[in-house]
Amino acid sequence: MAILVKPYLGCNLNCKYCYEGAYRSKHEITADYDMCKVVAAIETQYSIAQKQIDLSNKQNKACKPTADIVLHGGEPLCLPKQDVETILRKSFELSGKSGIQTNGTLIDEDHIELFFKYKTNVGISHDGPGNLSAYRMSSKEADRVSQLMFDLKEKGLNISVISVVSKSNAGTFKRQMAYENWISRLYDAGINGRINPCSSEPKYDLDEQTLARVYLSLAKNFVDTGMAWHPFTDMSKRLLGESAVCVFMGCDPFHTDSATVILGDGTITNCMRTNTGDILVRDSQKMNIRDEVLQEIPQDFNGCRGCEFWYACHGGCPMSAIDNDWRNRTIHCLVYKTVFNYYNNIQRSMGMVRRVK
Amino acid sequence: MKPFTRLIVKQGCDHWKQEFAGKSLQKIAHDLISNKVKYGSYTKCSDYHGVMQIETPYFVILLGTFPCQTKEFSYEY
Repeated sequence: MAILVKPYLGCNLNCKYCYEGAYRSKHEITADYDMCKVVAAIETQYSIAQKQIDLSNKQNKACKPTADIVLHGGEPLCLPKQDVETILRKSFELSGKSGIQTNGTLIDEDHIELFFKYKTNVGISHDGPGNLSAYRMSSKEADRVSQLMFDLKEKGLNISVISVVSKSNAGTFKRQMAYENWISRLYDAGINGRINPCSSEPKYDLDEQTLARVYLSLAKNFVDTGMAWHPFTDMSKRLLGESAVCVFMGCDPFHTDSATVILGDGTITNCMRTNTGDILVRDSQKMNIRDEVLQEIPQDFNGCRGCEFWYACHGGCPMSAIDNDWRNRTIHCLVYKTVFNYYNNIQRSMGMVRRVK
Repeated sequence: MKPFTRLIVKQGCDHWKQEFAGKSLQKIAHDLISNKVKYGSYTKCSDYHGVMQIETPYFVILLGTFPCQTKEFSYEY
């Protein structure tokens, strides 16, 4: 479970597909956060998370959850450095480490010093060097950030990547090969990460057939090379009945267990992917409404009834639901079915059996 | 699916939690749909897959209506 601290939702970039774009276009983004409230909320939410973890450990569940506090945004390095330090320090005091998710463009020597001081896991949102990141930044800037990741890793920082697959980095075979080559180079440098499908507008998103082909190519590449990137490892785990990334665990968009978000006024909300034009305050309890609905609704009506991979997928992320309605299954159904089928065949051929039906 | 009601307020609109404490969300939803309420009108309302969702500028109400109150799987007011 992640505690995502988002004091400021502004950003120095204007990524075409950003899931916080709808909120920014409707609301004025200000930096009038209350750091005292933010820090108090971090302490409270971390305490709650720890109690849940203790309970889980007592129940001796196979999957041992952890609580990670991550400074998020917008772009968190738009914050004054003393505020960045306040949050990283508090995270470190509570958990012995800290985390940040940044676009990497503003990282300087002072930040690097803080990252070492507070044992910060640095997640960089990046779609590849050069034109592969065309929806995010200039080619030159993309090259600089891409190189920075290797440099930071070389210095000894723990670096990971969140990358969005879109037309900019997989829209043609040539781009896709360049993208896969970049991921291989990251892996060789010891940098792992997550690949998310672009779920924005048709002019940026790959069509489902192409996206399925790209994901299958990546899955085969990872199997051939032994690379362990998300969500591919998650999909394999889910087929075996193991716990994995929230996308495949069944999500209540009004109480997202996997992500607790702290805003600048101390408000607790859900994963920001579920918030669009407005931010909804987190509901006090989790309900499995979406799970129940999707199991009942035929696939022809945007549900999941009868799907052989339901137990592993649970309809995917509600943020990517058909017609942008959380009551539907994900638009990436074909993509996930393609990859699940691939891993399922491998596992069956190896005699591996899932633990939970 | 068991019947359920749910009130989720938007950021900065917490006072609606107190305003509606102990009141029937079904009644509030009905009043919203029929424009009989003082707390403003809804911006979107749909009964989809047995889950009615009513959105206002301040809060969202969810009501379990499974099976759907309408014959179609999808219905928007």
